[in-house]
Amino acid sequence: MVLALYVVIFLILIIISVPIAFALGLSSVTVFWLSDQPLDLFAQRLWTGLDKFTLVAIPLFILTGELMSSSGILTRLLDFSRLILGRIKGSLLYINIMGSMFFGGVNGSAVADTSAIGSMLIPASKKEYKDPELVASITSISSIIGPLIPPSLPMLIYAFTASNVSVSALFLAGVIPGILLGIVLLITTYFVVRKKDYPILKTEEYTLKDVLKIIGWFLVALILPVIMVAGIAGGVMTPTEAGCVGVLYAVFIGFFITRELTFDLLYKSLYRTVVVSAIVMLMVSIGHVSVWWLSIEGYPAMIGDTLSSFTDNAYLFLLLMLLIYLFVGLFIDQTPAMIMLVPIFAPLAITYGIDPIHFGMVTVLALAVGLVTPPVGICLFVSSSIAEVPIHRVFKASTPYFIALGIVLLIITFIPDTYLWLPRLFGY
Amino acid sequence: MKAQTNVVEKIEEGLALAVRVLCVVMLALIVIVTAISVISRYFFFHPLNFANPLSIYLMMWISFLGSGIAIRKGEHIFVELFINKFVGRKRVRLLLLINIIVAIFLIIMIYYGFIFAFTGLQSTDAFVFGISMFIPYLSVPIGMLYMLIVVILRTIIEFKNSQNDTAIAVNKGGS
Amino acid sequence: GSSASGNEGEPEYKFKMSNVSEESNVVSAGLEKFAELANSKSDGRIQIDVIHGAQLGTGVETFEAVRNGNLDFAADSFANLNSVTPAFEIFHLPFLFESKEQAWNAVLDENVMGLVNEELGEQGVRFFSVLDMGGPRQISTTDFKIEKINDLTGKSIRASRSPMEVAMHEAWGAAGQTVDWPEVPESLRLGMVDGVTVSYPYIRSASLHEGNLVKYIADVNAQWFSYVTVVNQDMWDGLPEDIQEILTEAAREAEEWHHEYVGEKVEEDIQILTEAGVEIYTLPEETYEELKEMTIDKVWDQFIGDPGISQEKLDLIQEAKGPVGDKGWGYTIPE
Ligand code: NA
Ligand code: NA
Repeated sequence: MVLALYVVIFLILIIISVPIAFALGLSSVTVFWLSDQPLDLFAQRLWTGLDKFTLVAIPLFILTGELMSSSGILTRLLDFSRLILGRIKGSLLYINIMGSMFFGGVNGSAVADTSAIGSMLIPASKKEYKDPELVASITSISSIIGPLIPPSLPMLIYAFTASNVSVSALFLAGVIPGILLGIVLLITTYFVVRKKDYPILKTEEYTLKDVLKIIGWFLVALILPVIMVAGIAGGVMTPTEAGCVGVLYAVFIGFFITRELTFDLLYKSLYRTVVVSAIVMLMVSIGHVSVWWLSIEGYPAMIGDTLSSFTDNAYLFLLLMLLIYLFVGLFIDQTPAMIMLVPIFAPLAITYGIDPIHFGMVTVLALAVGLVTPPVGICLFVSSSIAEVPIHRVFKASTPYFIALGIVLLIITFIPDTYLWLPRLFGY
Repeated sequence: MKAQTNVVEKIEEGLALAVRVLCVVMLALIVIVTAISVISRYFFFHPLNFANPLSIYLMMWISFLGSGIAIRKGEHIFVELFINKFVGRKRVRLLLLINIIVAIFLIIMIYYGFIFAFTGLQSTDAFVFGISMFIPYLSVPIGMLYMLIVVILRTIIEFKNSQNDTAIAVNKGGS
Repeated sequence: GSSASGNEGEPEYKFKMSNVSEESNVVSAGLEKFAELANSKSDGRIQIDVIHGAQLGTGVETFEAVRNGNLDFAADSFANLNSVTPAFEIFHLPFLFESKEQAWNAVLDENVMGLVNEELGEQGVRFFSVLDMGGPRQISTTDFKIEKINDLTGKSIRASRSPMEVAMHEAWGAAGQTVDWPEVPESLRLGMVDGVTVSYPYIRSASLHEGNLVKYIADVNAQWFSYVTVVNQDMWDGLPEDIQEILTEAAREAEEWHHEYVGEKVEEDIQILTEAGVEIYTLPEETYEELKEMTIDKVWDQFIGDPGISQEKLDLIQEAKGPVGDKGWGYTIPE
């Protein structure tokens, strides 16, 4: 009864567009009060929900991503992609995808990726190919590579919400799915572009010196994700420390190597990070209270019992999870969805004998799909507004990409051995 | 009327500037403290046991205060299905309703948040310079209080402006 | 607080007790036993719901909740309570007790606990009972054995958020690195710390014996720590005398029962550890004495005089603890 009330209040509030964090807060407060829990405990739990050192990694990762753009590291990554792919038909589209693979390697936030790469590549691509739908579609879809390739913010949030999952193992596990998704999208683009009569772009003539310079810059940029991931996976740093190293490296590069970073830009990056991390943390904090209430009332166990009476087959369970994630993802953003669902589903997955790392990949990718679909896909919104085309046209242009994405999602869900060998190699 | 709005706007903006600078300084502090503790541990073999809890406390203050900034920028994540169907006065009324709902939650949290914070008066953190736990606990009610102030002031400002055009306090209202 | 109801067959006194440890932990059985005894001794008039696994909050949270009257009983390790009360800190003085008998003599001594209650009373909280957590802290290390007194120099040892534990590590020439318990396996794997000072059951429950995280354990009984239950003072004072008596009696009996239970459990744990290839060893007598002297020298002076660690209290404890006896901690380690 109380659970039904909780769900109903929450749904009404989010439908009338109350921000998710507050909708969750108000529905939790109501049921907290109805189930005789003292409300000062609610306030206390808001605080304890954030009392974890691992969470400090979240603002540091976000800041690293912000500084990547303001230090000019992102531009260098795109220069490199242009160097190797610039001469083929539809080059800007391939560059867009490769840029997401490299950039996603640092930031791991799909929305940041869409807006950063989108604002750099969409205007030019639109002008050259006169095909804004496809450009917007590729920009938004390729941005979900970022959450897979480490370091990744969603993986960090998954590790936190699932509890007792190693961040290093998750990072290592994401490498192959991330690259796989990137390659599949590149191949799909090849088939899409083949039928089009795009002009071959005139690229500048690279001298040997230019080539060496671009490669040099590329390596300087690539060091960043490599030290972060190697540091975490290789057992040298905690994720929080890696985030700190990422920030310091980006600041150093920005001030002394590219010389594009100014104090003003630094301040803006810090400020952006404050806002973005506060949004995430408020949800983590309120989500913590609501999940806590659910678990003392025994609801996760109840859901578990219901599910296991329905099926004890791990594959069926995974299929069901996939459907739930895809459905929820249609309406709710990846981060709040993870905060609300993972604490309930991750322990369940373990009872089905599913590796928590495998389940993490499924969760992160399946919920990321919602970022690029209507009605509320934030990446889709951002890219179509930069490209100035209606959402439904972008969505229609995305059809071949959704087929590709579906194939990757099925592989990741049902053939986990294709990528779990990597974390296992490192002893996880 | 106009002059009155300007005063409210000035107060709201001044407060936002102060909170913004405070949060940026705290975030920079997290980076510095974490960096120093890493250096100290790796190169001087001396763990700084205050670094981790201090970073956590700073992060909490950033989270709750920063949420107020996110409210005024309309950046908290919400489901944008319904609101775009509303235009003109209807939209303004819906936004008022949303702000009232958010304010109710905030008022409850401010009240109980202060009760919670006062429980920390007798507790201390021996590692973070022996500070009273009241200080980190206070991040909850103060953050919520700032959020409430933002909701109220933005509602006033934007209601006054709504004669000209619709703008929104909590929600940006879709793109 | 407690709620009284007059219905036939319904318990008259219902209490909620928060337990930070998981239900499978050794201490949880002791709390359940207490609840069971209180119920049977009162012919069903008392019902205590023990809620395990920190569902009602961390140690600090639940102690604060007891303090504010929102919760009847809270139970957690001394080690986690440093920030809410200094009253139990004194029992952490390294090498204060050299046998289980001594530790129990001290914690059940009226004078000692009278003083503890005086300190707790300022906060409206009362000491209620204490349970064994499976012996004192031992020094477990990743890939090296302690043979000489300075073998810990330059090493980093994990500590709980307790300044005294850190000071103890520093007395050994090591660095005391605070790491929250759930993050311990990862920090051993990362090489952030080279060892951990906890009792045997915790090595096992965190599976530190797996994956070569801990290979050696020096059985030095360095620092005693225990599980404590507190109750809200006003709530307690409001209870009729017979109910207070039944609760106290049930607590003492549960403690008695728990001693043997814990002993067996620790022996099981030790067996699992040694079967997994962990080497448990003792230091040569001379080295042990030297380690003990060195630790006491450096740590005791640093803390005596601090809140909750008065010389007066220490004298009372020293007087109450009595002779060392068999030097045992309630379990034996197979050779
Ligand atoms: Na990433
Ligand atoms: Na892209």
